[in-house]
Amino acid sequence: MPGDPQATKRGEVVVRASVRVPLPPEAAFRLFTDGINQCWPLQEGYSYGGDRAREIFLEPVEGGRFYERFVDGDELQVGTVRVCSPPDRILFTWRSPHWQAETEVEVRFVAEDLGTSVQLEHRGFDRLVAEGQTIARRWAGGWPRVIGAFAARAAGR
Amino acid sequence: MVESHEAILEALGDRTRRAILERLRAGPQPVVEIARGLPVGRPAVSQHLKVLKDAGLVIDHAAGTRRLYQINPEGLEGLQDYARSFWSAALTRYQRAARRAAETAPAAQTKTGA
Repeated sequence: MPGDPQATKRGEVVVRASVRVPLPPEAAFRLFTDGINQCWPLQEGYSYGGDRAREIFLEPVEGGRFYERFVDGDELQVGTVRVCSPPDRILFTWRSPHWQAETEVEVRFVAEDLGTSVQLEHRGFDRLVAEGQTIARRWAGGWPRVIGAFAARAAGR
Repeated sequence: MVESHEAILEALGDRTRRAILERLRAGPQPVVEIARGLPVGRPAVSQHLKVLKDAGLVIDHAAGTRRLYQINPEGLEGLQDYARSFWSAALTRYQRAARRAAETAPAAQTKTGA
């Protein structure tokens, strides 16, 4: 079920999303980690590098880096892998350019008869309030553009 | 009610308001309690609470003679919308890539005995 956000307790908010893919969990896990660059909408505002960002990597190992690589070769870490148990589960932190506090992303790969159910949970938004940085101005500028890009994409599908 | 991103961001952009939200994480409180320990007076706290309320981040209700303020659990929906849009796009791409991979390697497509 393409998940709706749910308030699990006071102020804590979770965004859930899931998809089914026609791959066994091992391959689905590898595609999410080694192949993350194929899936991440990097050039559409979801990167620190923006136009400079060329690739994104998620190292499938505990303590591994989640990082962007720019066209000039510079790298910027945007998160850290906390739990990595292939092919079942990976958990990593993520600072998007839109919030500087870290949020947490957990992905589970559940075997099904015809492939894998990939179940994602994104949480820690309450930390944005707790640790919220003074980046409101920046958000206010970038956000509508990002949302607009996705609306266009969704409409074109 | 989902308030505009701008109102949420504006509300979160102030240090005192973030401190107020931080305090409210402990539970519903009256103004006098919230103001305790903050370097601004009660009138200022009330003003900040109004901004937070207008942004949908805080709700209040009367409890006897007092008014209690608390975090609105739905207040961060604007931020959630952003995350939802993102994952929807990312997982759609992921699914496409998975289908391509399954087509090029059909042997790995299903579990045996499925």
